[in-house]
Amino acid sequence: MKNYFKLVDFEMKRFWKIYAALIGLLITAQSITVAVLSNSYKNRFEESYMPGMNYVDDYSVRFSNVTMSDGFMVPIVLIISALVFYIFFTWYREWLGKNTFAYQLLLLPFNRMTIYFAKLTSLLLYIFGCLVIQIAMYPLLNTIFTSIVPQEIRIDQSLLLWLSPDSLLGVLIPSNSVDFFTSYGVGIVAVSVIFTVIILERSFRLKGVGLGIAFIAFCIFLFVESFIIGENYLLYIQERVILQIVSLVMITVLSFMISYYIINKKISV
Amino acid sequence: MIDVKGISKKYLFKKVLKDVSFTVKKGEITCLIGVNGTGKSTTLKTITNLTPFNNGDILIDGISIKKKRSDNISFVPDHMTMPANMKIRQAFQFMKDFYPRWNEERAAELVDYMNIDVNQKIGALSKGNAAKVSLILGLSLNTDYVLLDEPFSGIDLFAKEKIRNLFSSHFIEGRGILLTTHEIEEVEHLLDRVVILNDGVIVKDFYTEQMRMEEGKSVIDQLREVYQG
Repeated sequence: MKNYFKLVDFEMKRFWKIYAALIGLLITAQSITVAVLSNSYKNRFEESYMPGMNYVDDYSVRFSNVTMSDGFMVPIVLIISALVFYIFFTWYREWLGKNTFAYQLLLLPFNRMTIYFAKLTSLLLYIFGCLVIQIAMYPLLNTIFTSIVPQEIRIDQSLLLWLSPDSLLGVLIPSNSVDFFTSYGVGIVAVSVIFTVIILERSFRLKGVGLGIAFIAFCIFLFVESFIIGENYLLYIQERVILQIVSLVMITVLSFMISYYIINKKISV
Repeated sequence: MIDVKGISKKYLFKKVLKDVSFTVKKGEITCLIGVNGTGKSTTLKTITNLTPFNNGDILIDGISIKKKRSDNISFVPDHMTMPANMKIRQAFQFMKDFYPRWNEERAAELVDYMNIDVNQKIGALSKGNAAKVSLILGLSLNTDYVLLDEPFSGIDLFAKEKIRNLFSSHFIEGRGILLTTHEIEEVEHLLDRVVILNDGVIVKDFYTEQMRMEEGKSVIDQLREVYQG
């Protein structure tokens, strides 16, 4: 366990600078976007201001109007892309490049699955770190918004309303705990499947790509089948959920078992 | 003792090791010689579990590596394997953090001997200094066996000299050394045993002293017989 924590720490430190830069970009870009857009709403209001007129209908602005803009969303998309890239980068950087660090990692005197779990954990920490930072930015961004946009046209929104399911943010940070655990549970299983495919490729090269594709197809089949069974046998909602959870657990266990065997017995440098 | 017993290794359709058997004993320097592409590095990688093999077995002090990976071996590959953006002292810290067998005093002694500045970045090292650092990383582990892959490859005269002198130092004493090289003249006088590999097959396996005494032949004579007929 001590080795696992030390490896997680080591993995985190290796990507830390890029991650910090991305977070810095997120904070800066979103703060500037909120300030600039809020200011334009304020200017528009001030230019057309006539005493006694009701502006709420025509000029009303919610916080989510600002945060659905490109300037706000682009850094989020950038971070998502970086983290998707990191899923592959975290493994392939060990083999590719001038120095093959895979030698050192695979020679470490403990079970190689520790490397797998350390990489998975650091990725999850980065993902959840982003979510926490985005949520923690709400008070700051909302303060910028409320301090610039005049009260006459402003419709205040709570954090929960801001994270409505019809926006990208609502999809990324579901306010409902069941939705949260479902989407991130599926996400974690998907990452474990991709890790297994990468390890298969690193062990058997071209043949491994074929095996990886077959494994992905099997996982998709298992997951989809849980929905089909639910439909065909007219199961209750709760039974369907249990079936889907069982299929996800099966995929995860299978993925871990294959990875365990391959990384300890078949992987090659 | 490292006991390599009839191992075979296939890459796609090419058999790179064919029924390879030899032993490495503590206190002896064994050299695996062969021209490029004969399977020397692959042999070292199979012993360290960095590449699986198809048939045969490898026993380290009597225990099959199929059952248990041995931590009693250190491996010095033919190139630097620590990340380029790491400083040498950070590489040492990595070893200290993860290897219970890491010997800090020995590492410090070797740094002195090799005259290396530990604040340098790995990526900024010359080939000679990178080879020296790789050796320090490998030799500073308290292991009974050390595997060295082409320790003299592509380095300058003075670095070669430093590394060559290591083989007769206390850093090596009592340990079982297996090295690969095709620059045999660098180490011929230091070797106890030689295993000649040609096209994945062991063609000769002999003790150098015995060969000199009984047949009056040097290692280079043996190599000529193998490769030039």
